[in-house]
Amino acid sequence: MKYRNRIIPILLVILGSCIDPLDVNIDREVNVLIVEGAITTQPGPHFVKLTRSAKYGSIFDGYVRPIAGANVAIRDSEGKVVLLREVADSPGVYATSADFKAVVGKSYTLLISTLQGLEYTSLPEKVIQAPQSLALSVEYKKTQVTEKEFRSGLDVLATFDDNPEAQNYYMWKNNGTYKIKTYPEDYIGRNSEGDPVPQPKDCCEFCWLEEINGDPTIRLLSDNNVNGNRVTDVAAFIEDDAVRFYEKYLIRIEQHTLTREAYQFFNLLKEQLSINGDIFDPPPATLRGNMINLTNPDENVIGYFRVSDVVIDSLYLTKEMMAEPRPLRRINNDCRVYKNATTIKPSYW
Amino acid sequence: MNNKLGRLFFIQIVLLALVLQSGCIPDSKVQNVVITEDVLYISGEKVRLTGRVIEATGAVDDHGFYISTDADFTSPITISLGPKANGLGRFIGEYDQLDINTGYYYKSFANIKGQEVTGQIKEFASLKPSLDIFFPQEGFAGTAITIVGSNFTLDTKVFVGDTEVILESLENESVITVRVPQIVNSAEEPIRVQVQDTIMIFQSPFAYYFGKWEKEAIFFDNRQIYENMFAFDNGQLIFGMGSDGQGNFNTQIWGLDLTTYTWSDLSFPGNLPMWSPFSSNGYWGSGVESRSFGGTVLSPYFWRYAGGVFEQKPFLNFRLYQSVALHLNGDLYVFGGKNADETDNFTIHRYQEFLNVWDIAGAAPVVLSNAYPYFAYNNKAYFLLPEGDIWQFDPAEGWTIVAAFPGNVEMGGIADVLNDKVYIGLFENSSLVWEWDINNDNWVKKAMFPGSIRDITIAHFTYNNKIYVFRSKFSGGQYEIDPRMELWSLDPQALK
Repeated sequence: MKYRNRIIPILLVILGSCIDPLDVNIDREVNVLIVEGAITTQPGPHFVKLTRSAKYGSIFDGYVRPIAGANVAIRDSEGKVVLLREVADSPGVYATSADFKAVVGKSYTLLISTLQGLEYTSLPEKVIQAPQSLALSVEYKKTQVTEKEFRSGLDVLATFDDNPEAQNYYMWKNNGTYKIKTYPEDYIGRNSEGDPVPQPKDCCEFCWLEEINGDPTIRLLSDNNVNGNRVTDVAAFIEDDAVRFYEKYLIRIEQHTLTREAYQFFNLLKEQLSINGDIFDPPPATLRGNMINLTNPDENVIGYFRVSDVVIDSLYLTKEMMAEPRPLRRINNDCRVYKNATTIKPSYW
Repeated sequence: MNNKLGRLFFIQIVLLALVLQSGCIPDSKVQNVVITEDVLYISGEKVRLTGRVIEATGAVDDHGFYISTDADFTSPITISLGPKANGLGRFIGEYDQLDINTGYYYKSFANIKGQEVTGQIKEFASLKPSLDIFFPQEGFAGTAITIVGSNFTLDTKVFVGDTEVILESLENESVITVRVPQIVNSAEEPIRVQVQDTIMIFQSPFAYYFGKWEKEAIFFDNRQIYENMFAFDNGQLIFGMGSDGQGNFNTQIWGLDLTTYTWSDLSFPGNLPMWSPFSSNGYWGSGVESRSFGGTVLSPYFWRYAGGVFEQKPFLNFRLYQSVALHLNGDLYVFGGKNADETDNFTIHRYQEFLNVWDIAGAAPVVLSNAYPYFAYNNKAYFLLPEGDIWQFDPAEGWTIVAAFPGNVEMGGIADVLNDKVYIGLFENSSLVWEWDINNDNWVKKAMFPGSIRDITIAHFTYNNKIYVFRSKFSGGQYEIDPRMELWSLDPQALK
């Protein structure tokens, strides 16, 4: 017993000596520069958005401030420099000229110099050539959400021939156009007492809506297991929300090539966004992009300057492609109340 | 027995603790490790490299990079970044005196506790410079031009012709601003850029706006005239009538002999005012004779001056002021202007000298006035309209728009033809004259008028391959130190 009484303090002294104090420096992770920017082989303008997170724990917690008045340039691997101009009325957003587009095979570097004299650079990003054989098809998909609810829509599948001579990484983006019908003559407004009263509107029952990233999911693919094959993968899921398929939905799929580093970044970002709190979630990790502070290379800069070759294909989606289309929702209002709605019929419609 | 067991147990526990503790003792095999990372930036003379200290057994006293043109690093360039305060981590080094278009090896290094460790050897090649464009590609001496290219070094030299010019700015190693010097020998000079030992020349030269203005003569007194007649006949400028700018009509006509530069009063026999008459090649007529609350009275007079003699022609069968007169196929045409009631005239009046009769030769489709430039070329009349269109009137074919003026049109300009080129400009408050190659529809600017731009051109003509302008002072000359009217010439082909 007397030995036991001696052992415990000795063990504590010996073992305790190997515990390093955790150096938590909160300030290191505040006021972080956030860079969101990409250039592609499509005609510009291409945009770079610069923001900085507000001080941790302040009343502006969670608020991001635009970085206005910075000098922003893109330099290619031959030394040619393109200056970006800050977009009027959009502080912190910088744009290339409309005639600028990236060239396959060249590398590009984003250079940022802030009004405070801080200089940042990206690591050089090379434009990898995209396969030219993109073709789109669709598959109806229905997923039970709860006992009584389900989500349905169309998986838009991209099929292409992967380049066998290189390791390739892809990202898909989508945007769409669709026509909606509403019933402005049945609009119900409210009188001065706040009671609902019929207030028919003269206009408008037909509109066309543009939506960017109707499917906001980050869609990525590595050709690790399919190198050189004909590949088919889901590029977007367009949900039947009882509004989109009044007539047809024009989906435009952009297939972007990525570097390995960009793929890893966006894959990690995708994983982080998928965390919903259960034990099977991946552990949170620091998202380090390809931006570097020249005077303090260890500063954490969030974001990625991406360069991509892009191939685009489009397809009209119709409700006939769906096994169980939802009945259309009746909207008793002017169709122009929808964001990005226009009554002008697009030329391609 | 128990004591023995207890002692044994104690010894075992202590040994176990020592074993466990050994896991915490820094591994004696830990080494100093530095790795060479990427090239962040490369241009003609500048490189930005990254490296990383992965492991360090002590303080990093110095770190950086070696750069060399040979893989053995026999006499390397050293980028020394000094002590690394935070020990491990990434570091960036920069060097800006590379030779362009040259291959280099580089490796990172760190000095830790007196021991130098280096990273792996990597390679890069400095870039070669190139030229894309320069603009503007034409202009006056002193014009700032922007040269766009890539990988310009700090010691880049720019030559306009053989003249080296000072770099006003060099931005992003790709945009240079310089000013073109005075013309030396040629109106076109190549733009040459020298980066280290590489010389590049733009395919298109810089084209100077050239020409030479000279003040030729000054009127003999302080009188001014405006809205006058003028003609150039046999080496003599004649001008007169109109008004004096003080509210008085002028009925005198003077002459200037350009061979002797002598002024003379030509003793014009007419004594009634003709304000803003038409005039062409020594013929002039009509204009305002009087103005009162009762209305405007227009003059019916029609005169000719030739060989030093004034000849009164028959009264006109029309009355106009601010109209335009030009000779086409030997006939005098009168266009536009205003009637006494200030309505616009569209009728074209033609005077055939050999028949001594006036007839009507059609109608103009637009409002025409002597306030804007007009000229005759190859028996066709041309009119520059305020909106910039140049209309052509061909007596045989009628009216067409043939060109667009590239600048802004104001009142009071000139248009004169010299050697198949038309010189248009010198509008009110402007010193600019354009040369229009009418056969190739090519426009270039000429040397800026050096005189007062507030002056008003009251006569213009060509003589001895020069364009002459005779100018009154603004507002009767009341604001001028020397209010005398001035005769200037422009030699459009003179370089300086």
